Amino acid sequence: MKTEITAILYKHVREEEISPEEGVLLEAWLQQSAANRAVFEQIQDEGEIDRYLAVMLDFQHTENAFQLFRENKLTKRSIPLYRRWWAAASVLLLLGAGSYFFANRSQHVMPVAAVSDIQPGKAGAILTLADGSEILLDTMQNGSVAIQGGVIAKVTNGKLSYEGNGDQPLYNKIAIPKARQYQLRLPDGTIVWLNSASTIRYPTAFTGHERKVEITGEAYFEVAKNKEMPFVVNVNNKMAVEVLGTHFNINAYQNGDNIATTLLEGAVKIVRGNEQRVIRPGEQAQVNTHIEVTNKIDTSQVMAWRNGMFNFENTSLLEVMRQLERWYDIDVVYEKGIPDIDLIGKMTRDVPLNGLLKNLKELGVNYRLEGRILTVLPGNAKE
Amino acid sequence: MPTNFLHIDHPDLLSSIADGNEKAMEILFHAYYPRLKYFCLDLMKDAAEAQDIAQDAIAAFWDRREGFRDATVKAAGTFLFTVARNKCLDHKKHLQVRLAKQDEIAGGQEISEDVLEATIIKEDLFNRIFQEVEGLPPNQVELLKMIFVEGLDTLEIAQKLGITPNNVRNQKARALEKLRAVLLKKRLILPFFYLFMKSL
Repeated sequence: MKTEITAILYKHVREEEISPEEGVLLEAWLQQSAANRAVFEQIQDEGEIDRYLAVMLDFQHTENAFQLFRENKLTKRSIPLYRRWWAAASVLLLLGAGSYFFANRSQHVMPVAAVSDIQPGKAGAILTLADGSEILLDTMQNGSVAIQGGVIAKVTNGKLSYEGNGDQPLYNKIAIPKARQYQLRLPDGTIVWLNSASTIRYPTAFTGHERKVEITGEAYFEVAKNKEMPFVVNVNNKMAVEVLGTHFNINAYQNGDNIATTLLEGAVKIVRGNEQRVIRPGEQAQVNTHIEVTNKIDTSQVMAWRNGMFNFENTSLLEVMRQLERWYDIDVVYEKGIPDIDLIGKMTRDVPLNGLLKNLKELGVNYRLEGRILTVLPGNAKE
Repeated sequence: MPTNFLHIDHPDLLSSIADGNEKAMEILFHAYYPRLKYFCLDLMKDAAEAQDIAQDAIAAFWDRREGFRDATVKAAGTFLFTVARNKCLDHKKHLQVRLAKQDEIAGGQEISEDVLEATIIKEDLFNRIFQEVEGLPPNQVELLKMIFVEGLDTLEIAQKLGITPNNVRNQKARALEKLRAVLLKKRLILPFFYLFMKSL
């Protein structure tokens, strides 16, 4: 049917005779849908074929697009091999060490005996109200915390939420110290999880055309839908995430080189200066001097913190240590540079520091812990 | 095994792509990327989205190239348009919450099956007409590119090519002779006729 119709339409635009059978087919096709009739009108409008030719004859654009495709797909062919080689090498290394860690790797979660030492982080935050007063949310019992402009801030089961409709945007700020994380519900119903050493600033009532919030550090958002009022996250005053859909994570720790926005559901638009990109689920936008989008992101790794996990897969020792600094409120120093050690595995975040360090030692990390200073020693403990 | 493919209809094109031949992939890319881009642009009214989806569709084909080793180029084309079509649909669904107002106008409703089918037929027809353009000598294709992509008029083209306006008109007339599709003729006659009137 499709090829027949195309052939008949082709004859029609060339003002050639069509047979009675073809006329019947064409008539049936036109009766079939309003969309078909609209297309029949369009193909007789020269503006439409202009648009087609403008795309088809833009050889330079197609060539640029091919170069992009080459970079993204074709030249990558060698890289997976390279990566596989390294993955194989790190597994061999572990087998050689006969590590119990590897044996547990298939389970992905390592059981760790609790030892009395530096405790892991827990829920907690400091709320700064519009008038500047501060409230420690760590040990808050269920109940109202403050009333501002007719909006009640209250804590329920260790989570902050807002109730009531205010008409003035009074700004609140939540700061998460090291060794804390916190979950809150914004006045519009959006749920935000904040990781250690992070902040969020938001109004107690969203007014105007946009729902604007500002963050630093790391946060995961599940944005409440509101078509009339888009949700915009300003990150470190460096870039913005404009929300078209729902679930995403932003990692904007200042010691990282990039701000990484990872999308789990829906769609978001990353805006940095004049540059903007829409990303899709499973994609991550890295923003430094410009926006770069990578796909095939392991989102479970990005979301590990919110799910109460550490995930060391393909993570550098430096990055793991930064996570430990924030979660255990310790300082990490390197006695002689950062040792070249491949880490693998996952574990829950609710273990005391010593338990976690024991596992890192299994992977080859030499260290010395004095008070809250963790010194990483040179060499590989397995060798 | 040939390494130079001059045309999309080369019988070894898909098996060479399955072997990872980049030159063969380049031919397929050049043949289908603009078609997919137009198709998505027509549905989405968003050039950036259309480009991304065209890329994604071809990437999906590349990932499955082994499965197309013994297939026809037509089957590959059907696959590409099906992926693009599904991605446009998905994308529209995800964009229920839109940011800017101009986006809302374009992205408001979902795309119906009827519109999808009709758009595929429209693209198919335009591509048939376009094959006549592809059959023209390179200098005439270049001329059409200046008219349709760059939006230049006869005088501007003459200046750019360093030839006389009359020469440009002659080349246009030659292109016209060969292009039989009425649509294209109409489109070419208009500026030509307009210039002729102006020169009187």
